[in-house]
Amino acid sequence: MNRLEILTGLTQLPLAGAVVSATAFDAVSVPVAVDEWLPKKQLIRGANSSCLRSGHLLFVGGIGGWYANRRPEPGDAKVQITSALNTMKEALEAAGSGMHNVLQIFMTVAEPKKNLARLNEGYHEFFPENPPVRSFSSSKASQMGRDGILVQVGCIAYVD
Amino acid sequence: MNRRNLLKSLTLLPLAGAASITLSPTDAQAQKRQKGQWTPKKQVVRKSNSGGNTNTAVPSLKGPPVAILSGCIRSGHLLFVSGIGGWYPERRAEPGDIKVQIKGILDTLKEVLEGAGSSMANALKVHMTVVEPNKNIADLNEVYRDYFPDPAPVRSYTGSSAELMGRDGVLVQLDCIAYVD
Repeated sequence: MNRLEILTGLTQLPLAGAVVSATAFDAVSVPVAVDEWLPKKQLIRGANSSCLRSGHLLFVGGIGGWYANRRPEPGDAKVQITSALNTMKEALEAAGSGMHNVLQIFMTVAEPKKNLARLNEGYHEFFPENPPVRSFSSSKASQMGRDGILVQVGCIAYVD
Repeated sequence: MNRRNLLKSLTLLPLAGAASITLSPTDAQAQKRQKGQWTPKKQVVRKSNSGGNTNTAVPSLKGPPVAILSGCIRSGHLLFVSGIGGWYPERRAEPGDIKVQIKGILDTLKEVLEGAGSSMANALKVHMTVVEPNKNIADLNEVYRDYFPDPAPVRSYTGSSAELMGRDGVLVQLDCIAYVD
């Protein structure tokens, strides 16, 4: 807002040399104020399971299957997806939604041929009815950012 | 349209047969609780995108395999479409090259979106996983660009390699978010 006032103030200055920049200001002076937009993006929760709300949608950032400070052993894909989805559940419920409102899931899976079946076993327990749509990208275990991680999962969910 | 209505009505049925398969008393309680939380703002428009193939199922101790994902979900004015694979052996004998696969996917996507009352023109965001994009992306684009009228949806993709695609033969997987009236 301050910036906006300064900019408006500048365009009103009777500056001879400001003609060029004044035309530039005209080009950006659309009637939508910046602060009309901002409340439409709201941070619900940071770190590890970051969650943003916009309108009736929640965006949950990628949650890793293993955090060394939470569990001593990485565990297999079922352990990891269960842990990640529990975190997701927590994040969604804290935001006033829940797993039943998850619309879309996106995952990155290490070596899916080896891990996907085991992952699915843990996965479906979280979505017994009307499961969300899902897609995944695959990676090598060595490309997951940290050793031990087999899956990273994020989502888009509905919130009232 | 008929199919859509059919699917819609199916999801509304009290699922007598389907529910009984998996229900134990605790499950029933859990499900009842979930029904109470249910919101019409999430609606499964399509259970599977390709005859059950994209609807990955897991074995269930209590009955037949359980589907773990939906084909297409509507929430408000948005449609969410599951990842569609470039090759399903049940549909085509040979995997084919990247052009064949992306064509198969986009035909399916068109069918899904139109079945849900939208269209390719309303696709907003596309994400793909592509095997060896350095080799395949140019050929993929050649087919891809004809499917979306201007303005084309935004798009991003992740590169991968053939042995990492979950199933042999698959060269690309694509999902989409679209607008629907």
